[in-house]
Amino acid sequence: MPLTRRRLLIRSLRAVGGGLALAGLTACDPPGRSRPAPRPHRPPAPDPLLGLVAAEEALLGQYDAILAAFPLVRAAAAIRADHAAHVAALRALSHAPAASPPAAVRAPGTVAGAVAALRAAEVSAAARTTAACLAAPAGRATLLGSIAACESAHLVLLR
Amino acid sequence: MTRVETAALQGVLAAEHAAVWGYGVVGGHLPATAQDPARQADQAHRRRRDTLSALLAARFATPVAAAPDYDLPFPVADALSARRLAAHLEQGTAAAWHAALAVLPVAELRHLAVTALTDAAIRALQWRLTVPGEVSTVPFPGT
Repeated sequence: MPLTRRRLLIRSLRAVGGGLALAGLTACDPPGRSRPAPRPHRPPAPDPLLGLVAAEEALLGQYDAILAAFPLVRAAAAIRADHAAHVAALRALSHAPAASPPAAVRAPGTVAGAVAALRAAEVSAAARTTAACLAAPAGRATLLGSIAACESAHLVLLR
Repeated sequence: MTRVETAALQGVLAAEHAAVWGYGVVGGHLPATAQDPARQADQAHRRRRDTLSALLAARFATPVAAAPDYDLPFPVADALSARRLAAHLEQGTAAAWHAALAVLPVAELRHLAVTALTDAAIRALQWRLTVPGEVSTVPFPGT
């Protein structure tokens, strides 16, 4: 049966209508247009101690690498034990999630280079912990101040 | 400044007075060639004492005075026991500043406290290294 002009017209209108409907749906798709936008969900700011925990754990990795390469770097094992105690105390205070294995660290090629790297790391750590102490609520200031003091004192041993 | 903060500063001032007195004993038992670290530490404690006295006076509090005399924690009779006493004095002032940190919310005072705690921890470690049998590093100075 040959298509009449009228049927053609109906077909085209349906096609156009379908297109319009689709276009409308598409336009309505982003939820913000036709409904009031929901308030953006803001997660609570992460505990600033978590960054310190990660930094202390990275420091442990650095000591492990250097102790493996130069077991005789004086006092490094004792200093590493201090940092392990810091990690435990910071974790207890911040409820930090389980540690991921620290990234592999390559030890410097010489003992002098290793000591210099550890000195630089302790200076950074002490500065970071001191800043955290100054910004922390009073209940955390004692632990952070004590850790900062310990890290500064490590420079006495790293010579 | 709150009463708690004033009391905390008075507590560290009392510890600094004791340290200044104690370094008098330390200096009296060290040979002339080994006086420098004791003299420098003594001066550092005198500076902290003066800073604290000024801070308290500026806040209309009467700074606590030094005691006329103090008890030694153990007999001091030679250079070795003098160095042990010096380590003891630094650990005592570190503990006092550590305690103050818990109640000093003002940034400037807390900065003073953490700096003083750090200085005392460094000197305590330096003195301990000169005393055979003493631990070297401790993870939480002031505790």
